[in-house]
Amino acid sequence: MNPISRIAPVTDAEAAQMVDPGTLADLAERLTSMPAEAAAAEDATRSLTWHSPRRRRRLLIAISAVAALSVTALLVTSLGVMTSPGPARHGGVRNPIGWNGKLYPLGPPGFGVEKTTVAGAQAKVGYPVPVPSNAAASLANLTQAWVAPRNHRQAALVFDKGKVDILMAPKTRQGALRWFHAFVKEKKENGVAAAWIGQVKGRPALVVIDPGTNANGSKPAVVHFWRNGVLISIYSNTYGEGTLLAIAESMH
Amino acid sequence: MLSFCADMLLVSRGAAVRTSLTGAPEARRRRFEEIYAANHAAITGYVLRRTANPDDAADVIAETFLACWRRLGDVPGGGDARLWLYGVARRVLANQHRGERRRTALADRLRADLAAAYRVREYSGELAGISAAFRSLPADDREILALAAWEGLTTGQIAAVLGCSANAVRIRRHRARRRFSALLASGQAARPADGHVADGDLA
Repeated sequence: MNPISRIAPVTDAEAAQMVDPGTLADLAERLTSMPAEAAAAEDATRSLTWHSPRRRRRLLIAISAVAALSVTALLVTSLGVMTSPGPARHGGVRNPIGWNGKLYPLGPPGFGVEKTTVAGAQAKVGYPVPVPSNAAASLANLTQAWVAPRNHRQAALVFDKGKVDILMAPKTRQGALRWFHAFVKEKKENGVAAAWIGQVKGRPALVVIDPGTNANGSKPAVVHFWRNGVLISIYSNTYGEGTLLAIAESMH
Repeated sequence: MLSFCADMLLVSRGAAVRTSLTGAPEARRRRFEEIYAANHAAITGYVLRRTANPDDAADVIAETFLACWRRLGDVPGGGDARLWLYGVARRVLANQHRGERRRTALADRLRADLAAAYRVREYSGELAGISAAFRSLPADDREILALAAWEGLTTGQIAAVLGCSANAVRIRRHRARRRFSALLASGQAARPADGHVADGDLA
């Protein structure tokens, strides 16, 4: 083995694990929210190979204007993102899966999403996709399965036409636990008893019980838990945390 | 922003493929998302292997993809897109090392993630010696060896990233290996024992 390969500080896979899918989606959103026309215009101006001094001056002015517009757009976008609470932000602590708070039929957030089956999802994401066997969610009422194999290998299962949505993605246990505790701490600091650390199969699980507390009343109850290298999140606008914990316990 | 654009004039040899995307915003966005999804892990890895500072890494990653979005017409298709991105990331890193540090709002969340998750890897025993020898090499030698060993690039791909001929890569890599072997054999290298490319000039 090449000795230099042995001292790689980090592999691509490890690097990918360090960044939440939600962060990646957020960055892509911010970048692409810059006016495409302005960026395209800049492409077009740069593609010209020679310019007369007068034309070069005009181009410089145009490019300056485009750059200023882009910066302004970027600032406005950034401010918007930072100030908007957003239904998926749970008050400030990032959702490690990047859920956008909108349930079925939109499917999981991000890009490159494909509709598939449970078996197809497993094949595409490369890890077991557990399915619950519970009255509220089971193979019998599975409505849809989605995957985003190139976006942090996310998989999503939609049950009973969206009454229960389960989203999963690979995540280190340490990263998941750190997020659980940060989330609960923030809720306590804000004086809102809306989240606690419960258990699923004897392991820590983050339980969020604040359905309907956001502006449009659509915020779902959520249970997040980590299993075999995968962070699993169960969302519902219909059921409370007890049912969601039971669904989590029944997942095989 | 303008100086950044000027810095980003790097176009890998044979990689400049202009497309007709300039008039189709939706197609433009879709293509960017495909490139981003296919390459964000590789670019994050590339950058983290070359800087021990998560703040810098986040900025470099964000600026690299910003360059991609703004210059989408220059980004080649298929697997060559990654080589183009490596080339841009390499140039942005070089600017960071020259002290042209930026803290872009684009990278706020990325910065927080990397700061929380990234830990510098320390080596002991034989690996410490290899790491010290590697870090003792000139920056150009390190980069050409790292592109092969860490990114797994072929001679032609390294040439595309560095913007030189394949023959030049072969010669430079041969010399770099010779210097690396000599350092390993002599055991004279005595730098800190992490595997990062030092804050030298990558350009």
